[in-house]
Amino acid sequence: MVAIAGIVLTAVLIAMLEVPAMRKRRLKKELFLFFAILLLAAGIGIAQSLHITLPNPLDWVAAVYGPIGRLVDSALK
Amino acid sequence: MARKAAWLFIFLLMLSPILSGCWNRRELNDLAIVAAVGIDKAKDKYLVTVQVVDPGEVASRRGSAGQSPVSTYHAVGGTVFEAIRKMTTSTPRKLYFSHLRIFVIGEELARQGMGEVLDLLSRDQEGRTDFYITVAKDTTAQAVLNVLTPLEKIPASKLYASLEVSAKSWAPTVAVQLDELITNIVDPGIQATLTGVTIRGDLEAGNKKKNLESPDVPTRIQYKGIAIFRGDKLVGWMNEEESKGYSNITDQLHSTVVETACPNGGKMAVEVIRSKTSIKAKIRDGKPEAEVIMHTEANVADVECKIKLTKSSTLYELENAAGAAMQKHAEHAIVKAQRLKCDVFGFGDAIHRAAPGYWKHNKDNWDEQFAKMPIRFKVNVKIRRIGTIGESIMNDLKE
Amino acid sequence: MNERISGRQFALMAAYVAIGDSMLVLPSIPINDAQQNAWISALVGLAAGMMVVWLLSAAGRLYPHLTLVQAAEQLLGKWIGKAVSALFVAYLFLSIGAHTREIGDFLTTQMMPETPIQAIHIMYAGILAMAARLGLETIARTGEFFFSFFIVFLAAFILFLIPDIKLNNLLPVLDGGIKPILRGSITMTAYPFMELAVLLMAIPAVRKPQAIHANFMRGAFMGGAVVLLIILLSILVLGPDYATRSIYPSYALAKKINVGRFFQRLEVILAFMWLLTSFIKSAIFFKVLQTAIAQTAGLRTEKRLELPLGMLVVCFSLIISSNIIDFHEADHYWPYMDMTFSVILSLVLLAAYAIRRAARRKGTTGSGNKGKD
Repeated sequence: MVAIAGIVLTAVLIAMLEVPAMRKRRLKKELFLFFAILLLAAGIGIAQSLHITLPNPLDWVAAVYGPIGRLVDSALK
Repeated sequence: MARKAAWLFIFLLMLSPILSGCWNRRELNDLAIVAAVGIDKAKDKYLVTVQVVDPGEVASRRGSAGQSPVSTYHAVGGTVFEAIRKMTTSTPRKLYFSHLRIFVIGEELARQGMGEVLDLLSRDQEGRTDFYITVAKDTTAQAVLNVLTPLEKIPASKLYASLEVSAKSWAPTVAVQLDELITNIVDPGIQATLTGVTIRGDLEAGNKKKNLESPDVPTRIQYKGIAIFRGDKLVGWMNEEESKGYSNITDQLHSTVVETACPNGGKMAVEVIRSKTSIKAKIRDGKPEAEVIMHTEANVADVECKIKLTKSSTLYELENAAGAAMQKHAEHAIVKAQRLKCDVFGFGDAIHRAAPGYWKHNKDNWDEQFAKMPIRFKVNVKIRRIGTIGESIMNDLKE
Repeated sequence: MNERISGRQFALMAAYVAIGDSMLVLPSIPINDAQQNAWISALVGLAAGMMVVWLLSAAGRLYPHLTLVQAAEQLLGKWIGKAVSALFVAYLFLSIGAHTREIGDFLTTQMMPETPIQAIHIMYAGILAMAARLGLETIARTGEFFFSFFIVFLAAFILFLIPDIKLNNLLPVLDGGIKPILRGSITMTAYPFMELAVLLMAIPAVRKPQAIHANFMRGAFMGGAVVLLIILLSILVLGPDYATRSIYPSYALAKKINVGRFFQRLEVILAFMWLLTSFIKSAIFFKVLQTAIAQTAGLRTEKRLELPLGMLVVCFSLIISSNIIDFHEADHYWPYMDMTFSVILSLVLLAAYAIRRAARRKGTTGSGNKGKD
């Protein structure tokens, strides 16, 4: 619970720190990306504190490059 | 701008309670500094003893309250770590192992295999490798840790210093650290050795401060003999002569006293000041053999017989005699090791370096081969000086 | 990019990226494969790595005033270029997450086991964000400032260990054949050298474009030499068995320093050195990530994204794996990802450049872009 509050609070604080300056300069694309990343991070963070298993990007890398790794390893046994 | 600064300030303010102390802080007065650890076998569990320093007692000049400078605690557990944590039921503070000086393994445990107890100390992040390991001989580790010592308030420090000094100046002891021990146990080309520590005198009396009240301390801790291991199991002991030989062959001999017989009867002592030993191994006719080459420099230290010292021919004789004595020690050591089929000297490693092909095929039964291996010696002793006087007074004493 | 760094700063940045986290985690990998011959692996890795850097340098100099992302768009066309850049961004992001995780693992293994790793990650990411906000120049200058300390510590470190060296630990040489040595050299080539691809985004910042090549090679070599030295020292002092067994061999090395019973327990200084090099490397990665995102998405300003990025890095570094063994499994395939974004990427860019030039000379104005597979 505390962790989720902390995450949300941090996200809000970050937004409060950066958004006004961006709004003033009408940086639309930046704002879009900003919120996208922020929400993604907050989402992941909350999911983690609720112990929901999340997809692990390292697994995707392993899927792509694992076979090559194994090939080279066995070639050089 | 001011608004942003205000937000930043609030943010930092909120952050500070988290930053003001890390999770892992430990105040010094919450720690019990462990100077020595002893592990014995207790049925099929471990009896762990720790010797904890009492800083107040050690630091004060007059040995204030008359309490012992160290306290020991012990506990029994299925694993070593369990036993240590159990000890918190009797220790007033959490044990801190980074200042460990001595690790004593009980003889019974050593005979059954000590590999298991080594893991905790190498895995724990507070553990370092700069302490010495010994085996309790004819006694338990717990007993050893309970003896108070004169001159050095913390017995563990005395054990540490004594081992280091005796390994350097007397030779039949070896100061073994954890990483060296682990490497020797695991490496098929060499077997491990550890120095044995015994208690001389009455055990009960050794635990009391009374032990320190007379100049001739009745109960002492003493190093004696070097233990031979096969893998992680203790299989035998080397006596003083053999231990010296062992030190010599493994190039751990820095200085020692070699007693030789005088040509005309009587004894004298020669002090070794420098020694370098190397092992040359090779394969001949498909069988391993080795040569141990020793270069030693010595001084005449103690002449207790009639002898014409100021003739260089005498010195040459003495050199041969000393060399022969050292070779004899070394040969005895090898005989002992070969009988136990444990290559504690590292001849296996030497073969590995000299003939890797042969080693790859034979390393699994190396100790068998070691037991039958012919080993030659080439001993070269040079006596440089004879101290500050020339002829001994022995020559002039009227019979 | 309107930052300006000197040639020397560029060289030092290359050195920092090369030493980076390799100083702590790399040694046990080649030693595990090649045992006492790991120093030969390191030499092979150094040689191969220098060739990689040469390649990177060549690719970077095609358009010295453009970053990698911009050059990719230029050479491969807008959409393919952006696709490549997006992949590069993902790669950078994964790398930063991994580095952060490594620092967290190290600190919680060796020094503060009860501290929740999140706290370390949050603070680390926070400083990374701050560094990125302050800009590449600041990062470069910080690196420059600390480098002299680093060298002094390193020299002292090596000097104090000399009494503990056992030359016999290097023998027998080449007893396992060449294969284990090659296996060990893979990570040695990848982690210090292939990861230098990140500097391709920083090339426009160098004041004098003609200084790029020499400084790139020089810095990379220096960094690689340091890693080689550490591997060599680990074998000489600890022996192959203990060096493989330790997860952080250079830390175990530092614990051994004992000069006259006075200079001991200095391993914290090593931890600081490592934190320094790792941080500068991560900071460079982070700043480059920010710039790459900005350029790929066509943002008007690249600032302002650090904090959310930092937060994402923290989250990511925690998802990456549930325990340290799992994480180190990645050593088996991560080098090939490194290779994709350094060697293959450079080759693609160089090929595209060559094809375009040939097409232009023929007089056609077609977009001779070679599609990326």
